[in-house]
Amino acid sequence: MSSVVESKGVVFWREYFPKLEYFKPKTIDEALDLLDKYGRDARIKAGATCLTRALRARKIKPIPKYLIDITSIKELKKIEYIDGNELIIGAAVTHEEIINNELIKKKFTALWEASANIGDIETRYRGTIGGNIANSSAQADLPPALMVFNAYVTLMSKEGSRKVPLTKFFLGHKKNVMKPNELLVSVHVPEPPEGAKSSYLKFKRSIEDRALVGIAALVAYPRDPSKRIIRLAYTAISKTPFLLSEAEELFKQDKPLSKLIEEAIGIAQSKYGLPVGERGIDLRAPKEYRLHLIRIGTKAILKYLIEGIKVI
Amino acid sequence: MVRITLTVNGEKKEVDVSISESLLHVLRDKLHLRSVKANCYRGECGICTVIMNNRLVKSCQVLAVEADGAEIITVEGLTRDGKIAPIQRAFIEKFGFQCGFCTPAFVLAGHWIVNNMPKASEDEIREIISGIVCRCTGYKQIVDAIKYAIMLAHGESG
Amino acid sequence: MGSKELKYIGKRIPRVDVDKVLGDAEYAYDFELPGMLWVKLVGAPHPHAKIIKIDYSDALKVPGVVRVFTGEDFPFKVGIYAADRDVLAREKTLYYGHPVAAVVAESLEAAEEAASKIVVEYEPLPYVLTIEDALKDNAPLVHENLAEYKHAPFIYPKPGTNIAHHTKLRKGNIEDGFAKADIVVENSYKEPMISHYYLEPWTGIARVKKDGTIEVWSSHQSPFAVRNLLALSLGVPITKLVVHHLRTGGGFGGKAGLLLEHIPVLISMKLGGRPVKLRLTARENFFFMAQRAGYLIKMKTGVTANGKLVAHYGEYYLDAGAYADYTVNIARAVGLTAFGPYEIPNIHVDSYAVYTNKVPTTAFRGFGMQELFFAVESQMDELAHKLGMDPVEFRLKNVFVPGKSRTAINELLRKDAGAPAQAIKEAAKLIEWNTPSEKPREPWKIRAKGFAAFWKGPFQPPNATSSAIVKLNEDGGVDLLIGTGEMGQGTTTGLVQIVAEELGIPPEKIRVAPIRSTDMVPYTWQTVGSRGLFTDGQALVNALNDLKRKIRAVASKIFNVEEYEIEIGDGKACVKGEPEKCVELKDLALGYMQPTGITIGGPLIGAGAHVPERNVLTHPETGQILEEGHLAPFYTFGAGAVEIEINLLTGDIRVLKVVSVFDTPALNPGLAEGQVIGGAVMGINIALREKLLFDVKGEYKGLFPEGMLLNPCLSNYIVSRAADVPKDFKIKFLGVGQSDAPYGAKGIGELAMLAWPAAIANAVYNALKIRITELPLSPDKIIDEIKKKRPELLEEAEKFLELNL
Ligand SMILES: Cc1cc2nc3c(=O)[nH]c(=O)nc-3n(C[C@H](O)[C@H](O)[C@H](O)COP(=O)(O)OP(=O)(O)OC[C@H]3O[C@@H](n4cnc5c(N)ncnc54)[C@H](O)[C@@H]3O)c2cc1C
Ligand code: FES
Ligand code: FES
Repeated sequence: MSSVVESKGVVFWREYFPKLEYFKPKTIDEALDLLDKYGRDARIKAGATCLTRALRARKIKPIPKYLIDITSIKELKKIEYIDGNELIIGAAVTHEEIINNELIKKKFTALWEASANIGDIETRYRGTIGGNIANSSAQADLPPALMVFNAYVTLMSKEGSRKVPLTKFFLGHKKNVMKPNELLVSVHVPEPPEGAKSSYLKFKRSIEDRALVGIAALVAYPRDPSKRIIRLAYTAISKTPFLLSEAEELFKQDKPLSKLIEEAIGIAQSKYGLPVGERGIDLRAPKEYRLHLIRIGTKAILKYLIEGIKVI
Repeated sequence: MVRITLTVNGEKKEVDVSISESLLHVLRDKLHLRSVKANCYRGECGICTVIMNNRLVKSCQVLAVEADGAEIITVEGLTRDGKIAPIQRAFIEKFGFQCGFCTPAFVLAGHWIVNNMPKASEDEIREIISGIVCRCTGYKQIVDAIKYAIMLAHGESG
Repeated sequence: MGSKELKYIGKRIPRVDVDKVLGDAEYAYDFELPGMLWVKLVGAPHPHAKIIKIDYSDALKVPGVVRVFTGEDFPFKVGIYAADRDVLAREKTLYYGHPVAAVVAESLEAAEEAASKIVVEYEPLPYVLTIEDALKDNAPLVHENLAEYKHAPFIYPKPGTNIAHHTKLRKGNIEDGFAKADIVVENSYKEPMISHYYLEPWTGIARVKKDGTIEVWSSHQSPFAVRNLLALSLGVPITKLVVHHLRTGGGFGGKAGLLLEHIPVLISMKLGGRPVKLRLTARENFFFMAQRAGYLIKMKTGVTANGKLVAHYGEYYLDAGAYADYTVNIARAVGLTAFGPYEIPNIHVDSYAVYTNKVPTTAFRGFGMQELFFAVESQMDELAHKLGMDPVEFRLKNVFVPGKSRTAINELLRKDAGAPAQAIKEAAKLIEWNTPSEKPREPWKIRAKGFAAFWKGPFQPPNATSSAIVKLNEDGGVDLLIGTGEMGQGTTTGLVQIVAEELGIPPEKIRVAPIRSTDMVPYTWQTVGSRGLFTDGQALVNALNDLKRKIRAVASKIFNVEEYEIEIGDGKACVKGEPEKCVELKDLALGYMQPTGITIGGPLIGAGAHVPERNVLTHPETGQILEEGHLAPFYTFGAGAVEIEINLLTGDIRVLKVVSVFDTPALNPGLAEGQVIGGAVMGINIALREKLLFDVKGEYKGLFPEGMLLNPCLSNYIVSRAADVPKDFKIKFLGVGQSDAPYGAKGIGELAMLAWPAAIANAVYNALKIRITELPLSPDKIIDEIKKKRPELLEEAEKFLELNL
């Protein structure tokens, strides 16, 4: 017969957080000092929409002892647009602040649409762009929308700062390149190419749902192969959100656009590999269906951006 | 324990809180505002919604310490001098509740809409309250109540 | 009653439980006592395993911890129809999440902390997660000692198997029946386990007083059921048990019967009577509270060429999970209902509740009928299509005729049983059945209508009685004492309307205590099966008649007339035809003092009871009634129809229109519409989205703990939101009452939910010509079916995605 196994009894949920010490720094430097001092025992708190859950589940190991609330750091709350160059969004800027920004709506539409698609009004009011990225969920909405703009983030620690393209930031579901003493300070969205339009398409089962598949796209000069830029990025189909890096080259080819789209879809589908497991998320829809959504979603978003016709 | 100050339903309160508590615990257990309900403690059901600094927030997701200095409104604060708020009257007249467990959250959401978005369309109302789950009513009578409350508070033109 | 213009009945009288809107409604969730201890439960990480050792030494070290209990502390079983449940897992765990230990502490925070420190040694055993596996010859047994369990007389477990109960129904001769059939349709229908997801997680508080009185405050549907079952399970005298019903935050069947009350009670008993509270969070509620069974319904139905149903064969299986307590009786209900509201002379049905190593199950709004009618009403449409007959017409040809038809159990429906045909016709009219749906503006979408009929009565024992007391107060107001559970369905308001109407006093002058304690209010069996208003309402009408008799007796003495000459109304008792000879009820309430001082009457109290009329049991081998009578005190008939829109690209189904028709009158349209809309939205969500996920195929071995319920939270178990649901409802009550019902009104609470999965599946068929027999009708399933059976539809739709270059 089977052998004896020892298991922790399962506590399904807890109302109380672990006992932590709480800091509310006013400047980035203060925050970095704290991070440096407490390292792996410290945790950043932004909107806390995800963090509160992770703390209650005692999912973060080791269980943090210090909480650093960054929502009072003014420098992290700024949205700055350097005309013709880039958009800089502070890590603690909320989804709602992004939605209320007319420039983002016009120029960085995919980001705007992805933000508007997050959770519910209460989550958008509290949740931040930095939290959405740092949380590094395989089904997060903002990363693909940022990736089509080739966005990157600035990470800072006592030792200095570094810029990491979002495409290099994620290492897996809830895993990223950040060191324990690093703070995600800002998100940089380069000026979109001339003539570009972008959009985000999210498939979900209810108004308040995580993506079954999320697709971001950016398109410029679709009819002219020499100038054409088409970028595609996806969430909720692989270990991390990803930019379909092959696509940009592919779409430069002088072949019928619909052929190229089919090819791009094939590549995107080949990347399928959602994490499954207790911390995973795959069970909300079967693989075949997600592959189907990649197919029709990619076609739909490109049709919309190229011809202005919404089909879905 | 940390001492925080809250303005709850117009009254200033000082409370000693622990970092392991959420605002929800403080309101329910320390300030005895039992209209605030809870269900998931995961930010998913919206039942714990209160108005904090004139915004709807899920109180289970707010750390108690973080709420220091905040202004909070719960359903207990809607009735003044024995007079009920338009949103409460509307919920009663339009049958906007059944088991009532979700009701405080929807009443507050409705109250917030009445005060902040009196021109909201039905679709906008539905979108705003979509963070809160009701398993009894099918939402129609809740939406009707909110529309009616807007009318009660602002007149037909509202 | 009757001819007079009604002042309160049939009117939109506001709900009486306005404390819910004012913010001071008290639920068990909120209830606390000084010095109260908190309990936290620890679950098992194996679906089926021997418990070798539980080590809680570290838990005891957590400051504030009082004690840790395990299964061995409570060596007995509890239950209602089948006593199959351990208080905490004993010897072995029966499902993933099965509580193995209960930590008691001075604070919830300490209890939580200590619970996480418990370590258990298990020896995993083979387990079963599906009905099919559980029924195999050598299947691991969930309950080896089934033979020793106590159960109700009409429950038939099969020791040595995983069958918790078997109901048989045999009517006519099934072979002859099929011999007469020209067309036969055979299908298997499936519904997964689902969750009630009521909003108030289960909570219970208990204490034992020094004199041995046990007091319980808990989130339940029926205080007397809790009292009875606690007494039976724990062997304590009824008179020492007081169960308090507070506001209950939703039940939907999930809070019927005994829940976890025995845990705080037993712990309080062991801890010198200290008050003890167990309050779950939503996630715990998925594992520790019973959910709804899964269904496998196999049926074969025969019809003659001219459209008369002649034979029905069925095998119905309910996946009961690890404890089948209430589900055994649901298996009985679906077995005896056989094929719904249609007359068939030859029927052969076997219905089983089957144990599996999954979370336990219990009643769910509709008591199995939504699940059965998903099958029956899909089957009806398919038969109609095969006959080339309109589905509505086909239903009308076979639906019961009150006063004439005999049901599957051979019950002759009473003449005033209702208006099934009229309900079907009205629903067809309201959905404009004969007008095809408009083409949607977006050509990759498709619209169609779907139809389903239904009926149901409460499946209660024949002796399920109720009682009511009304007390007249000195201000002419009334206190109504009643044991009805109020979970939001609004029965209390309906009962107040009855008092108001009968005595002619405004509802504001009638009080029903929000807390109903079993030692204060008169008995009512249970508040389930949509029976509250009917049965408790009849008890109330009798109580009011009693009160009125007493009022007449006093008033007739005052005016020196015969009792029958006294008329009661508008808060007064008057001599008929002599409006100046009146006395106000308030002056009679506590005794009427005559001018000389001599007082007559005394405090006026009316008491009344209701006993179901000629309700009978059925034969164990045939399911036929033992003598002429009824299975239920009333049946409500109705029909529902939908118009849906399917997105052929995504597989999403949107319900555009909902039509819901009931034969009964509505005592309060505001309340009734709330039930109907809430029921429809719930039924539609069950049709489209709900499913508790288990790794039944072993696809995720190593990734999740085996046997685990995989989606125990709202992010993964989708409950619809305000922006997801239909807005267009057409609701109609035909006003055809049953003569002995209060103002004719029959229950609708569950009925509101029954039509939708079938109606939507039928609409899907009408749109795609694809018959889907398994819920939920989720977008992935729709796309999968289209790809398999109608790929051309998808190809057509995909053309709209092509670039127009
Ligand atoms: C009801 C609900 C619905 C949701 N719906 C969606 C959805 O539709 N789409 C979606 O993408 N997400 C969704 N989320 C997930 C999540 O809440 C949001 O993505 C949100 O943006 C997270 O931001 P936050 O500020 O709340 O992060 P927090 O919860 O504060 O933090 C999340 C994690 O990131 C870390 N962190 C935060 N900021 C920084 C920083 N500046 N530097 C370093 N580390 C940092 C924290 O330590 C923590 O580990 C939902 C969550 C909830 C509760
Ligand atoms: S309890 Fe706060 S969202 Fe559910
Ligand atoms: S009224 Fe019961 S959950 Fe909304």
